[in-house]
Amino acid sequence: MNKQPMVRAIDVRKSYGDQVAVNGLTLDVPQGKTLGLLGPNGAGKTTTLHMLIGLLQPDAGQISIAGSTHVDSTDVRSLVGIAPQSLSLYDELTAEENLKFFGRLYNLRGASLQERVNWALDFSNLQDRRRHRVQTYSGGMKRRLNFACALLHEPKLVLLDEPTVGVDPQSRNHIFEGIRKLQDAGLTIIYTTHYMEEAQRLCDLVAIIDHGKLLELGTVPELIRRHGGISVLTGHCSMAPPDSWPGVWDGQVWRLETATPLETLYQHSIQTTYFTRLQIEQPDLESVFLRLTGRSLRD
Amino acid sequence: MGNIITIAWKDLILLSRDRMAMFFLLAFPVLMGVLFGLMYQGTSQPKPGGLVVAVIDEDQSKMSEALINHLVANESLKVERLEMEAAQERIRKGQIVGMVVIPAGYGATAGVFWENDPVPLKVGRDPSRSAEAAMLDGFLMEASGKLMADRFQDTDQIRSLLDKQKIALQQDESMNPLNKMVVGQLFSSLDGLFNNLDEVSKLEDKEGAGGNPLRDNGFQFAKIESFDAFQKPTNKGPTIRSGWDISFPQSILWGVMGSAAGFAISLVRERSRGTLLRLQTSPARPWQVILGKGLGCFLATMLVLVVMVALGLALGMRPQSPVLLAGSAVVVALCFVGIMMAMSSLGTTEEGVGGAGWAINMVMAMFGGAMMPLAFMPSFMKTASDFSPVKWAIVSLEAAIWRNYTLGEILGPWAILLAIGATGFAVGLYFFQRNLR
Ligand SMILES: Nc1ncnc2c1ncn2[C@@H]1O[C@H](COP(=O)(O)OP(=O)(O)O)[C@@H](O)[C@H]1O
Ligand SMILES: [Mg+2]
Repeated sequence: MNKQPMVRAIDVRKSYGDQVAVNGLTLDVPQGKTLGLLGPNGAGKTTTLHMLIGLLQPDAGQISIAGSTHVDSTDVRSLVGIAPQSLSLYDELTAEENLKFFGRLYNLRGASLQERVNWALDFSNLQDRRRHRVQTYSGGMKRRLNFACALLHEPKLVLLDEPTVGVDPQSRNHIFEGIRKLQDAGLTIIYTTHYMEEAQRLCDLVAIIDHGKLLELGTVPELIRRHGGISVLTGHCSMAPPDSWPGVWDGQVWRLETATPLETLYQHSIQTTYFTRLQIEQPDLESVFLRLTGRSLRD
Repeated sequence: MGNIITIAWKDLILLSRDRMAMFFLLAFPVLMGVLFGLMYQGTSQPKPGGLVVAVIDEDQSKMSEALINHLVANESLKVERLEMEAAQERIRKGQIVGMVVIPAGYGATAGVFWENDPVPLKVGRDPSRSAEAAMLDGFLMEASGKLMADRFQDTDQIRSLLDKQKIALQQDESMNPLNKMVVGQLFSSLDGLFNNLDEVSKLEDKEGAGGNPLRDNGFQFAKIESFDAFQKPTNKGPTIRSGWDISFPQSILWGVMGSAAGFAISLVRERSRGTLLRLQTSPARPWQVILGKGLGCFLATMLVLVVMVALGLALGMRPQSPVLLAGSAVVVALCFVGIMMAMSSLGTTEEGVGGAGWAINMVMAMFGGAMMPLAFMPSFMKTASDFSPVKWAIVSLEAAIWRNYTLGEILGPWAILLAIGATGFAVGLYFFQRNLR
């Protein structure tokens, strides 16, 4: 485990005029892991990605990709693929033409270009629409193509900037499946989102950022254990529960707050059949964010 | 190099799918070329007010007589029938603008349709009064053209074409209001032009009651050669052989300007549509992106030039020097690549750059002689025209088509065009790079 991280950022800062977008970000992304950058709109996620790929110059701090600090060198660029938040496609070209054009920029030619284009059309499930212009596509189809364009040159690091914004549930699932395939193939992925379900579902590591600051970094269970707070058990029963049970009964509903709900149930020999209905509310990333910032992610 | 060609090729495909851009690139210049070509051989020009000219009829044929009658009928001209010596004397004293020599044998070839080598009219001019002499060329063109122009005078047809296009543009929702306004303006001025033409031809119809028997015969376009009236007539000097010689250089410029505006818009579009981001994160370097755009613009401009020259040739334009014409085409295209780059820095949105780009095009065109030939401009506009690259582009094309410039003479306009292009490119590049960060 002494492999160098795929991405390393040390105290990176970026402002637009007075507006501080990224405020001292330090993090490592190990090879083959998927990092979720979770934060509300304006948190600085896009700015961070753009600095990682050399589109923006940080005001301060250091960034290295696969050990190289020359993030805009040709070598590093061939390692990285980005699916930008704003769709980056030529509407007047077909899917196939878009893919071929971007593939050529990565020095793919001839048979290998054709093969990668075919792969990308399969990946984005657009084979039957390959000869149609992008302007005739739905939002979901465009997103899928935008994603596939990032993968043509077989990058080792993929940056996905809110890849599910404005897509239908079907395309969304398709994109999730695609990400799973990339994970299985051992790629390193950075995934920005303001949907905590996506971060929870897809990411090995989650970085919670707000106002350009990294608030926490860890696996989902770690974050929840550290900051999620307690679970709440609520049970409906018509008779008062035994005195040996912890918690309070208000005449109808029994309620118990605990960090370890299942252990608690076991320890106190609480019979779940006693209740007409029993609910366990466990904390999630949303509650982590709420705890860390005092605000909800959706604000 | 691979990346540059890849980007240029992509831009040409995008251009070919942009109806608006293609209209300005090809359809509009063709319309202008045909329209002005007809005008120069069909009907009267704006009145410049009393040009006195001598006519020396060495042919004494029906044809020469018909030509003289047309000149006499032109209210702007006062025609005197003189001998050579008398005419030269009057020119020398500045009493008349020039002389038209109708050489013996003129009548024999002037009546033959598609005659390859008609006997030219010779125009002796006072070298110091070149503007008026250019007008005289125009009137001669017109008088010669009248003999055969009827076939080509069907302005109604062009007009309905224009009307259709105008409606299509008005209904095009993808076009922003500023562009629409500029284009609308363009069409209404064309409309005005046609109305004038109609008025003039109605007048002529009244005057020419009974009809001219020669009209129906079909004539070769006028072939005019000029000479310094202080010297004996020679074959040197400008040689205008058809109205197309005059109308095509200026019309080509509309396509060239369309290409520059189209590519300026497409460069800004790369940014606003986010595709620039992908170009920037690819291994292609920023200078390759810019050179790719530039190459695309250059090729599109060359396409306009080639198509227009081919059409001109088909209609009867006869360039004096194909080599210089090719050189001028390349220089003009390079110059407008630079202008394209500068235009792209005029705004940050497609609408902004499109509107501002076309506004600048209109001004350059107006002062540069793409709307009205320089010869018919008031003098203050002629002075201002020196600042318009359109003027130098037209001069370069004309130099090769009918002005008979030598290589040494044409280098001046070429140098000016290249300097303008290089400056524009540098300015555009500066702002492009600045906006990247
Ligand atoms: N080009 C820019 N000019 C000025 N401010 C910007 C620019 N891009 C982003 N910002 C600001 O920087 C902050 C972070 O933006 P961004 O990185 O896009 O956030 P996110 O992707 O998390 O929504 C926001 O406050 C945003 O308004
Ligand atoms: Mg963003």
